[in-house]
Amino acid sequence: MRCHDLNDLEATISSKVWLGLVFALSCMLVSVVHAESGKLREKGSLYVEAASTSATAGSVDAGVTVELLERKGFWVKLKAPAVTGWTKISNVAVEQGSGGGTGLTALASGRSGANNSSSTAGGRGLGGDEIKAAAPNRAALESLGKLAVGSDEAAQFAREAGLQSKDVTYVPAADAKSAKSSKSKT
Amino acid sequence: MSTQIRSCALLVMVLAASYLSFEDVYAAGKAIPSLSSIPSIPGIGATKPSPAKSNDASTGSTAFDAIKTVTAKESPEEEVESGNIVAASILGAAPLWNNAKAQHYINLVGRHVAQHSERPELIWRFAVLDTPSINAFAFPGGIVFVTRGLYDLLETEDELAAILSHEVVHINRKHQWEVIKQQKLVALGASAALKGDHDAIMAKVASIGTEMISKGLDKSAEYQADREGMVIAGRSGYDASAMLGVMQKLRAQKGDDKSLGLLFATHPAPSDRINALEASATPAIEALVLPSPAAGRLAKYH
Repeated sequence: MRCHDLNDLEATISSKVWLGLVFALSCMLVSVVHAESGKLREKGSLYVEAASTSATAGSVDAGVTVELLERKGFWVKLKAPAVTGWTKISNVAVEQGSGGGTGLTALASGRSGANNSSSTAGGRGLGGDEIKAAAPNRAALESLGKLAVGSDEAAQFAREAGLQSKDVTYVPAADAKSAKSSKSKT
Repeated sequence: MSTQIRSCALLVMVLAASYLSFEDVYAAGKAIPSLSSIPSIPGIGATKPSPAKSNDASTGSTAFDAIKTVTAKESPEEEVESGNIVAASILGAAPLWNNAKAQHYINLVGRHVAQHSERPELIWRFAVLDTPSINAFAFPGGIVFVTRGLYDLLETEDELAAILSHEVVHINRKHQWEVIKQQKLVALGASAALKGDHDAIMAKVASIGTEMISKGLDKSAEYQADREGMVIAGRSGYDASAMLGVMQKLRAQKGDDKSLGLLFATHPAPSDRINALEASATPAIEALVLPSPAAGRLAKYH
């Protein structure tokens, strides 16, 4: 193999490795929460993994202040004074505005991140008074109509990313509580 | 219910409207069951429902032509055009974001999600509004707005899909349209001057719609949109739990942040929504909580 072929091969492998690393990092960090703190609602076990079938990492009393480290589905990883482990997200009471921000998610996604509420968006705020005082902008509505896409184009865009449709049924509101209690028994 | 009882119920509403402020009528409207079973008002006529519109995109050039009559019957044209006039009012307060790439992107994601709802035949239109406020809005007939303040807050396509799914449910369930229909009937019954005056009716619908948006829907409608939005996002191939991430981001913001004022005034607290979402998660939904393969795509469309 000639020298420049080897260089090309090395460059190709190198770029694929980097792409793989970036993708893996993104997958690891997309569900990182933002260093919220809260208190445990009830005394209970923290699990080693995000499943009630996993081993217990230890027990934490109700009211103990914990730091939220990571979310995985409906589970959240907590750091308590003496133990770190997983519990259901509803078992933690978090006060509004308790997020501290880590910057990790912004690094992973290239976006501004959840704790940067100072959006770079222009224009003015959109509160109730502004909405009630507004006059219809029909020209903008016509522009909006031109943004619409067809179902085929949207489906193609979804396929390009590997999205796959699933068959899932709704849960009636009245059944939500019983669904939760039946799950907790497992 | 007999026709006489229906007529009496409508008469009571009309009489009440002449004594009550808009706020009173609006609050009452939230508690009143759907009036879709009440026949159209005699002598004013009914709009003939037309077949469902095509699946393809449209410019919506007939945006304001159909609300010419008063009817309590379901009319796809009235629903779409009511949504158009209210959306146009919001566009009068906040312009479309001048970012064609992002606007196309949100339409692709939104349309994909909407295809997994019960109303794929609507002419779905999505847009990002150029305002730092953090919010999202749904309008009857298939229009969804996300503010740039909220768009900036998101980190994954799963989170964007979660928000769009929530708004799609509002349109599927006709949450806003039911309120507008009821309020419009009351207003028209109370004012003879409105009858047959298309422009006046449109102005009244715009007023009802903007008032509704500034006051918000019943909280049960928001919980339903969360619960069913989670399912629609999962059906579409996205992380069904992504709305939890959005709620965590909202919860991390300071409660007195002005950009969140309207959102917090019109929706349940993020922590309550998180708890309700978890309570609604069946094993089938819990199986769909991994980041989707499209999660990282959002960063390219900003």
